[in-house]
Amino acid sequence: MNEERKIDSAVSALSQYFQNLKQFPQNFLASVARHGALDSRRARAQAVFSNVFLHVHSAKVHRFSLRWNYTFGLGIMCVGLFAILIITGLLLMIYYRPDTQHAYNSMKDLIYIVPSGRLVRNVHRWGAHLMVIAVFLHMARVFYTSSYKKGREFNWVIGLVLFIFTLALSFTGYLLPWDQLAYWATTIGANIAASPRELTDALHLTWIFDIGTLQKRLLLGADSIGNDALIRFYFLHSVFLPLLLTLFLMVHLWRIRKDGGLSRPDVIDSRLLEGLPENTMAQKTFAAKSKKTYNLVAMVRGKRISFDDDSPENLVDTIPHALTYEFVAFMFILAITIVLSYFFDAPLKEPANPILPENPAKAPWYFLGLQELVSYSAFMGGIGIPTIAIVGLALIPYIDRTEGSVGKWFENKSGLRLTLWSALFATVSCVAMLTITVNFGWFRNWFPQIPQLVIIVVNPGTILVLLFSIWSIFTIKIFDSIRFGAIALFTCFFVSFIILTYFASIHRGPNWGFYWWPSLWPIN
Amino acid sequence: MKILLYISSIVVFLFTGLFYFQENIFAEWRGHQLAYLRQLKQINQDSEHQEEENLSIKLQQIYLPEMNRIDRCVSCHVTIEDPRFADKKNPLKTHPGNYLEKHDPEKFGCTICHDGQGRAIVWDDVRADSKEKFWEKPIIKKPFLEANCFRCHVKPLSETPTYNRGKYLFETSGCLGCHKRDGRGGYLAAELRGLGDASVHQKYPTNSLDPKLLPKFNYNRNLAYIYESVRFPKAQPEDSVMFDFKFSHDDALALTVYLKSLSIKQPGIEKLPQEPEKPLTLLARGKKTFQLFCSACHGENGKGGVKNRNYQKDVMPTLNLIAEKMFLYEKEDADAVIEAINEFGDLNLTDPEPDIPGFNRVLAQFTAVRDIILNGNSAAKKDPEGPAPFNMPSWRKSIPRKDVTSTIAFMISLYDFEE
Amino acid sequence: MNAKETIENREEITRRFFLGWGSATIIGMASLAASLLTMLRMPIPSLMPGKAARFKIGNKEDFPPGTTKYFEMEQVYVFADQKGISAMSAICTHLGCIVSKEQKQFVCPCHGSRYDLTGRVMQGPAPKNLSWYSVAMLPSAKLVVDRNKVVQPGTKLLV
Repeated sequence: MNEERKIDSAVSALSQYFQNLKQFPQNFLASVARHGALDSRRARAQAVFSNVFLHVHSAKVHRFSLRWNYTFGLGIMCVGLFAILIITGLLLMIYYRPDTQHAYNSMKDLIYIVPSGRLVRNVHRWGAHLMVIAVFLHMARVFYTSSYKKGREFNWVIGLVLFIFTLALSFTGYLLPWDQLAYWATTIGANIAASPRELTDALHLTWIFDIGTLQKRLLLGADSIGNDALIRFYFLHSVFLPLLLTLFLMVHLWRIRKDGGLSRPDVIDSRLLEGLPENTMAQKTFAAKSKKTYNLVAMVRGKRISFDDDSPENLVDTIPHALTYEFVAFMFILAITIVLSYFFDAPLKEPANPILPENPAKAPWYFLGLQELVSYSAFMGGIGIPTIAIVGLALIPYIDRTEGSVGKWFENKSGLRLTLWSALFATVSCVAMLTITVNFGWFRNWFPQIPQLVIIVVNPGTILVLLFSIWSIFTIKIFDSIRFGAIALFTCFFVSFIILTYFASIHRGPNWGFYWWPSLWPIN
Repeated sequence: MKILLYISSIVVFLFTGLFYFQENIFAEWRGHQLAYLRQLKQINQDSEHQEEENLSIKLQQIYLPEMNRIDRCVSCHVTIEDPRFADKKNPLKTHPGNYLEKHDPEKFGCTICHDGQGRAIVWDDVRADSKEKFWEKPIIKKPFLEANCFRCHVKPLSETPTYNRGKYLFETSGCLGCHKRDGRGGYLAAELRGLGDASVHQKYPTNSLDPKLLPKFNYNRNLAYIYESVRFPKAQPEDSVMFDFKFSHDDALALTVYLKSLSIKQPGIEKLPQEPEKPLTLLARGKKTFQLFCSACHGENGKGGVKNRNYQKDVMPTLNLIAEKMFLYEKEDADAVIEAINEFGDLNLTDPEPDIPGFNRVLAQFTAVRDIILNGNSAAKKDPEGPAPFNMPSWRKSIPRKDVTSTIAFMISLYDFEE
Repeated sequence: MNAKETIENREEITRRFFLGWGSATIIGMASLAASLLTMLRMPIPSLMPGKAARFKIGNKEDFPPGTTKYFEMEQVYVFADQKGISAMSAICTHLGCIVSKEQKQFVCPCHGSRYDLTGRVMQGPAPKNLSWYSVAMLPSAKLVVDRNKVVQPGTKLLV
């Protein structure tokens, strides 16, 4: 036995001990990274594949997916902003106190005596607003490039869920500074949650089924906004919703991989590929295009990812190309956030005063369009129409199953024209409805005794929904294409959202009256 | 793409750096502390008395958790307790007067007297006297500063002449005929306690707040509003029924200071104990009550002449002829009645009855007047379709019985028996 | 030639690409790091909450020789004798409990450290003596103790 051991070790155990100690750094590094230096394509592919953070990417990415004016990097901006918000949010949590006595003071301390407090707070606020915008634009991009088709339907729905979570996060965070702006915006939000009461009251069902009050109490933990509401909103904003969003985000990114990778057009013109990173290796090796499919590496049942029209020459390594482009998108949105943070301070008005309403009391800007609709009917504007909108959006990939070309903006010239016409239609309808309500009021002005149910069913919001649906169906008939109908409907929704948001933020003043410009508001 | 990356990176770096500089290198308070050290060195050079001073440049604060306040004024106002800086300019100026002897800043802080945003460290935010600053208590200057003494003090002070004048005017103009103060007073107008706290940005029910007034009050809407209500009562709201007392500018200013002091209790502060009042004579008490509650409607010293809209008799009743109405024709009789009220409190409780002719008639009238004061009385309309005139309110809840009868005694004494 | 081998082994990133994007990425990372580090300054506030280290104790008339006063908010003992006024910490140097004063010594209730009246450790696990703090007179003639300024034991302010 002794001889065996002597033959095995050329060196004694003790010197082996010291040798191991000396080699600790390089052994450690080798154990962390399970690939060698990134000097070959194989190593780079392996790096993506074996790293838990990176392997949400595929090892190779199609060149066209990286084209900036295809996706505008909006998805990366959404995720990047979420990351920025998490980091700044965690830092803010060190000082913020979720108690009505201390919340406002803790905000003041953050701004004045916490190093970089003003910076982090502003980044958090503007980052949140930008994230809402980015999420909207991302949804529009996915829609207009038909990227919800061909197996990507469920991911579209997941995206809608993420959209709702984003709005919920923004709404819950809005209350936390506990100033006048926060308090009254949340009052409106909580009463929107209670607005089913308007419906059940009109139907005389409230005594059986008072879901409105139930929702409001669930949200506030009380009948009015106080400490209970604050701690609930804090919990939702800092723990529960971020967790949910992260979970769904994981699913969302995973589904991108499984449903066919990052979106890009089915048919690619080589001219469109100019300026993008080239797979120089493959060019030397492959003379002509060939069909290629990748089997899923693990034994997973399901689709095979097929790159129908692609040859390996159009695939580029994730490291470095996709990562660098993602980094650009991230730095870009970070730069915008920081510049905004430098020039504009996040608002903080007087401490919340339950007996003194802000006038006008406005919801956060992304809810202002809703608030305009709510000013006609609380239930319809607050719950009815948003539900219709979300359900409608969710149904799009299931109703529009036309094969058509994936990945082309607006489909074609015809589609572009349709989009512009739909935008015009939506603008005209909105402006017309608003003109009528501003100048003449609505049913209650003309028939004071009219039952509330009539107003719930027939109000500017529902009329717009009706008009847009008619327009959409009309489009389907004319173009004989569901996709075109979808484009019409989506465009109407998108444009009307923008117009109503603009209108309610600029042209609505104290007592929700119409004003041509904010400087004309009475000095109260 | 590369260019975009370069530009974004440079922008991120640049603005982060700007933030850092703004906060740590170009901060306002640092400049002041450095200036202080320079001036200190000079002073130390000139005098033989070397001071070992705190040399580190850092933020300072006065921490007052009982009052839920933190005052960071001392980050810039380093020398408030250093008498050598009396002739320098703010913020490195010694605090004037000897106020700090009795009000140690370590225990009181600064904002409890001066208002302002104590937690801020930028002068503009501390002052908070412009619309965008959203702080309810901007820094308050003299003479309005006097109002804040009365968060704790109760007795009028020699240091607060404007307040004293305002208080005197308030208590002799009969304001509590319509307004309430601490729950006592009339029914026609608002409770005045809390007026001083009314949010500077509060939306008052008017758009007639004269914009030219605002600059005179440092854009403090609360002060401008109070002044306007006192000097130009018909300005807001436009259908206000408040009388125009024709106060001069100085008097209106004094009243503004007094009304500003009517604020809600601040947390952590106790009012100084009330000194026991010197007992007043019956007539002095009566006069005081009359001036506080009655004189606005019934005229100074009851001379009447104040119009009552749509009232059958057009003007409010005069009260200085009450003695006649009570069948007291001789001065001795009036004096005897006053004496009786003084001794027994109420003419109904006299034992024995005063020896005056027709005492029963006198007693009946006295009781009638007393009951009108206690229960109120409705005024008859001249034009039945017109608006209701001002009724005599019930004072039972606001004026203690003793003071009701002393007021009647005072009114009796107003009669001029000489003519 | 074995195509597979070629793909595996040959370098594909050109030097031009590496330099161009490499330097841009490094600048980007550096910028990001600078921003992140600036934000990570947050956990340590510029101003610590709580009562100030420097506090007024009164006038010299409040401290005739023979006085011992304990300031419980600031946890400082102030002594006055013929030689002057001095201030000493009441916080045990072992693990921070407050010592109590007996006739001729200070005793810590937590682990029994004992100090003599000048703060020197006589017994127990305390590693250091009780700190003496500076007592100074302000220009306004008020006396002030500064817990940020530790002085030699025995330092007294002559008034």
